[in-house]
Amino acid sequence: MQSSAGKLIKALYETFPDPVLATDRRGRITAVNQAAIEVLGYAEAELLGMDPTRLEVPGEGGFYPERAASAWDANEGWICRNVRLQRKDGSVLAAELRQLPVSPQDGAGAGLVSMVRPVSETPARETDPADIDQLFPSALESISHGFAIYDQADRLLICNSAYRNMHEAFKPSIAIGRTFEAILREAVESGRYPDAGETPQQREDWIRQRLDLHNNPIEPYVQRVGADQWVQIEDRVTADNYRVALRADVTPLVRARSEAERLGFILEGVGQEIYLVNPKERRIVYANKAACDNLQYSLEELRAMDVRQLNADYSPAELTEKMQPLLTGKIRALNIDTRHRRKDGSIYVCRIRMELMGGTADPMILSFGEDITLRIDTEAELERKRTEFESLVRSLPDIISRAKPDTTLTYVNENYARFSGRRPEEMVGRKFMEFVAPDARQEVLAKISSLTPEAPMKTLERPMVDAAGRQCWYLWTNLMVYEDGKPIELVSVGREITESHQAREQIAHQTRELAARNDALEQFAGMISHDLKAPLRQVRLFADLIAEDVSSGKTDELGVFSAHISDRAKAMEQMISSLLEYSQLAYQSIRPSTFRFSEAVAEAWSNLAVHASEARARLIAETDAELHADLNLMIQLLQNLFANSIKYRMADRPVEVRVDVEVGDTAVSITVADNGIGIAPQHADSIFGVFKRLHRDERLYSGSGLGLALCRRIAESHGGTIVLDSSYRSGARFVITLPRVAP
Amino acid sequence: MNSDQPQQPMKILLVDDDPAEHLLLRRTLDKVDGPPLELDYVADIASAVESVKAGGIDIVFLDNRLVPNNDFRETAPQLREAGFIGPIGIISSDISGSYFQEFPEFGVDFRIGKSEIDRTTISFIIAEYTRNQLSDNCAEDFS
Repeated sequence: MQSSAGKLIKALYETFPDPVLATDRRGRITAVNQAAIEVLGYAEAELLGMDPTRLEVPGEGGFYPERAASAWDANEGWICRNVRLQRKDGSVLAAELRQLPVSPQDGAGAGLVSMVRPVSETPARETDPADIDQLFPSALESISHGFAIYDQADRLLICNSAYRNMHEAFKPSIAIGRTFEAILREAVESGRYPDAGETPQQREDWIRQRLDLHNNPIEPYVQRVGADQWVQIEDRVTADNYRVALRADVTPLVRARSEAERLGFILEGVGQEIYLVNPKERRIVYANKAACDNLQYSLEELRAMDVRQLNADYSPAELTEKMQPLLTGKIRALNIDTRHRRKDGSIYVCRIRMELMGGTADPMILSFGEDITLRIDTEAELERKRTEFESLVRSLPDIISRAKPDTTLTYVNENYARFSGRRPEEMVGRKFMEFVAPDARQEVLAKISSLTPEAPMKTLERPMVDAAGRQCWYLWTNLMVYEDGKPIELVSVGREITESHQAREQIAHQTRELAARNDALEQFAGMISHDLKAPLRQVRLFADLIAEDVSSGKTDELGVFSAHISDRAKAMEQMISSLLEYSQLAYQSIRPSTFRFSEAVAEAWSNLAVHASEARARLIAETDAELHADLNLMIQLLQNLFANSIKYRMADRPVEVRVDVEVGDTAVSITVADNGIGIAPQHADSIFGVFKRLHRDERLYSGSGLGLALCRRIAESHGGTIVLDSSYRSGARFVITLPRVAP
Repeated sequence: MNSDQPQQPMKILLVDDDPAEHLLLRRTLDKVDGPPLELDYVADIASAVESVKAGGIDIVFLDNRLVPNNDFRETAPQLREAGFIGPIGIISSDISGSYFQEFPEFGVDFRIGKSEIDRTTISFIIAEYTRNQLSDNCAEDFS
């Protein structure tokens, strides 16, 4: 065991963290490890051959114990004591000195191995040197790193569990006494090394390379030992050809490095320019590819520049002042729009966001830059289009407004403002309902409320009155703009349709009139058919009866039949004459002129003078009103009404006809009333029909049934009406209403 | 009742404001074969209502346009309202008006143009509307 420990110490001292000094029998230092050089501050050459007592603090001694000579001979094991040593720079090192005599058969000759452990690292409990042999394996086990020693024949002397368990590939092959190559080959052959290659040759090459690194270590390297496991391998060869193998599981580090590399790839790949700037030195530490490409500099060139040189808008002083709040922590981020100068001198506009990355001793500024040249061009294009749109809107004859969903106006065009007699700025901010006629508001609101995301646009025709009081018609198109189902804006366009509306109304009126005329014509034709066929049929039948009676020798009713034929023929003559009169008067074009209405009244009455005289009729007409109408038609209208008054009189009283005229602002009302037999209210409308007669008996009331029909035609041809006042009980009273027309 | 008893004449009421139509129909009925026919005549709907209320009317020929009424849609219902349940036929010089299609709705059984009225038509109408109808006397005979 003593021999093994000696070998172990010999192998260890090269890599041992504490200074180890080997002295020969003459008391000269023959070997030192790296730790001795570092801790004591001497170069190796200075230490080799040095008397170790020179390391003692003057006057304190202690490097050699008093019993050292006997101890060396006695081989009593480790001698431990606390000493104070002096480094090359004069500083004092309090240390525990452990010394072990080396027997002649274990080394080149009898000597002493001294281990210097600084007092601060000295275990609290003194360790018996006799336990060191047991302590080493125990201490090795406590190391988390893998540790192994291979002898000069590269056979495994010792290793800790961490070494065995460091990776699964190696573990099954590890055994004390096996060479490193044997262990490695077995592990490779069993396919436990993922990177060893697929073919035997590849594996052989890989093994050779690995063995070469083992035998001639240069520096630590990382090797993948599993799908997701990496180990840092550090092999050292001691001066006496022992190999010390150190293994550290660096999987987390490798993973972190992978993440960092990935992040680096991302940063390099993004289109946005990214800079990491050291604000103290004003140097770019890092710039991604987008930044380098756009600026046309390599990263090395950028690193060599003062970052402020890139800015074309601000001087270095201005930029420093601008960044001051960020550097002092007053603000967390700084956004500026500026211009960057490329290597070729060209300029581009960019928007920079800078954030101070704290938390380290050397704070950095992380900057994100965006080349907004294209955006600015786009915005300029949008602005140009907006201006064009504005011009277009201004030139349109339509009324255009934009409003919030609650109808608060946000925009009105000039036409709308002009229509309302206001300036656009007076209207914006007010609800457009204020500019809608009160009686139309409910309809407009209902129309707007009915807009939905599915049916966001509706049209509405409505009358409007402009600032000058002109009545006009507008076709409104309301479009509600929705975003995520919520209304955000109401766009309304009103187009004047007054002319087309009037034309449409005119057409509708004409259509209605045409339909009414068609109805009247159909009715007229029906009447003609009925009222002309009836007498003709009777004439035929009575003629047949006459023929029958004559053939049978009967003569008693021939006179009656003959009278009927004569009577029917007369009726037809009258009917045909009336129809001719009706057609001449009813469908002729009116020739309006201005006349005193009393003239028409007098003429009409004069035409009936004989009948009026017979009926002892009296006319009461005291009016000096003037009328603009067709004089002849008015005379005919009045004459027909007067004739009815005379015809349908009460037998027991003289006829009295009263004519009154009332001239209003827009219409003239003419009333013709008599004291005759009157007309039942249920016939108030039917009496104006063609051939409509309420009395069949010609002996009492003769007539064609066309008089009142003609009156209605004349009134209607003047754009007026004639109605029976059914409330009048003292006879019949007709009311003619004509529009008041300026001459 | 026996077959020797004289047959009760069928009574027709003509409602027409033109008396000439009465004369013409009377001459037409004279030529109709079959059971005896009796023709009553009134010139307005008010008189017609009185006649049907008085009873004894078997069939009514109603002129479409009776002055001052508009057409049968005003007059025929008055007869039904008076309790008349026998056939009512509308006669007119012109039955081409579309409203004639509505005659069943106003209690009218048939319509016929005046120019179509002759003894054949009258015979057919009487046969059609009296074939399954028994007079009060006949009903008593079978009781």
